[in-house]
Amino acid sequence: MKQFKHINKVILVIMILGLSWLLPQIWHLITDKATRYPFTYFSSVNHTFCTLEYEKEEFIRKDAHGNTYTEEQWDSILPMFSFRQLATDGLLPDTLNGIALSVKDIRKTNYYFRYKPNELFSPSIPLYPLFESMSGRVDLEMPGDVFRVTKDGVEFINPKTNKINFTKSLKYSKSLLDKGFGGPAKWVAGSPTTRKSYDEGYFILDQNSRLFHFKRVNDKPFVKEIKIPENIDPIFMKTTEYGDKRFYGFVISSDSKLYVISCNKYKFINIPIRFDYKNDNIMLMANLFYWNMGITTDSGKVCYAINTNDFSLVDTLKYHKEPNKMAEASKYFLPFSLKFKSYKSNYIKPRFSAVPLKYMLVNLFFVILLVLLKPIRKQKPTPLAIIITLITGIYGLTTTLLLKL
Amino acid sequence: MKKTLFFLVAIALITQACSNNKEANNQLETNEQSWVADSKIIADVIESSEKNLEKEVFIKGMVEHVCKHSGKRVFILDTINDISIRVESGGNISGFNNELAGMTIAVKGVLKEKQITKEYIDNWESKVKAKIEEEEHDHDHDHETEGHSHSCSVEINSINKMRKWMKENKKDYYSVYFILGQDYEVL
Repeated sequence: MKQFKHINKVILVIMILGLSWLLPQIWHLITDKATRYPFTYFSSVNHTFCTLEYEKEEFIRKDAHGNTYTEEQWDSILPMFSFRQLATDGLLPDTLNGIALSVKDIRKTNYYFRYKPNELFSPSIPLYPLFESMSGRVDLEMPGDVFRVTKDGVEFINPKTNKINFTKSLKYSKSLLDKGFGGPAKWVAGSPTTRKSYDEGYFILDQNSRLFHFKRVNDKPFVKEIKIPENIDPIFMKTTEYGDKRFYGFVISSDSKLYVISCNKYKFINIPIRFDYKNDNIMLMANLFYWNMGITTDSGKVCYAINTNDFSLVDTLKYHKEPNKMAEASKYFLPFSLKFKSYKSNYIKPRFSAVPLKYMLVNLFFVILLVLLKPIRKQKPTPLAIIITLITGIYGLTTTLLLKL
Repeated sequence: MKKTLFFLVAIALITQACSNNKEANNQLETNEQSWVADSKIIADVIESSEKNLEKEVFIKGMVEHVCKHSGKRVFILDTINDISIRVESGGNISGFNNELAGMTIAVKGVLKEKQITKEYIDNWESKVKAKIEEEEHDHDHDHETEGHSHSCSVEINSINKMRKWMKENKKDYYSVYFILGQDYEVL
């Protein structure tokens, strides 16, 4: 029976941890409110930010100078966003800012990009299909095999038979090794889908932080090393295969800087925004003239207007998040919390967070409450119960009462 | 006894696997080396162009320019003799990727000739000059404009070389040799 001697203590700890998971969840479920920011787009006509909000059951369209617009006027000042409506109405301008416009050109240069921290902190299966990038066909076809990166190069595996194609693996590995590749890879970036207009293969960062462009061209391996500028430590890349073929993709560095790798000699171009790759979301709406970048942080949102051609910063607009008073109030009676999920990561693991010590003074209140409950409980609280309640607050109080300590 | 037999079978299988890999590797290298090693510089092929016309040739050079829009042709340059030749995609070549620019490739293909008349050259030169003038007036120096400027300067250089050859050889046409590519390897 010795093993059961301490069972009460084990149950005590489990209950406190369980309550530290359950009570904050219930509280946030009841009190959390979604933060909505106005839709914001930089006008290519009047070169200012324009916003769309829904207030008092109607849409309010206005620009940064406070001018309001009807729906039709709104379409006219945002031709890059409302081009389909304008084209249907016959109101799409022939030229804008000295550039001839056509629906085809606008479509080619309008694209979207999103980044959330959970993309970086997410488990993945390191098997990738290597498409033929120069098939001569309009649609891409699945290759029938997948590759993985090893310390000796790459291995091509037939997923149906689970067999390695040694000849193909050697051929492609030789191309990588001849260029100085040192496996295994730190990361592999690519778009493993046929739902794109063309394929640019994969970008592989090897063990020595050397970056390689790897693709299949005319059924042969193509490998080229990309020189990374000295001050850039790339930790994440997301490839893009946009219609204008200007970039290979976006790169995030360890110091939270965002770059694009240009199709012109693999140049790294810095995008002038400030963000924290571990916590912030990025939303890009690009057009022929401006990149509309929205960075959503824990404290608000910052909108950037960036010149599409030279990536210079044109304008910024900030929104501050209204503090959630109920969330602030929870700090007084929920001294710490245990979570297993996070919207910033797809890994399920215990995450423990505690409020600053000054908020824990409220635990004294719970100790007093425990003492005052003596007549009802008909027992004096033990020193252990008092200490537990002093440290863990409401969790300790609840556990003490339930376990009748 | 059983253990010994199992051990021997395992050794035999491992040896066979290793030799398969080695054989695959050797076969791979042999296939690649067979015609790549025979590739010549552009000057040598052009020098014996009459003999090589409509025949399979093996040529190597640095990729100077890749046709961005279609990817169906490249210009490769003999860096020693400053001679370039056009390679059209054909055979096993569906197209050329842009990243080949600056890389040295060996090409297997058929040497072809096109005779360009003096009138055609004059007309071509005037069109290129008009394009240059148009770009000089264009202040929007985006990367697409830079690409066009580069291709225009390549064309002007080619036109000047043609005129020089026609004058030296006292001919009223210029023979343009190009390769109808069948295959290529990056060196």
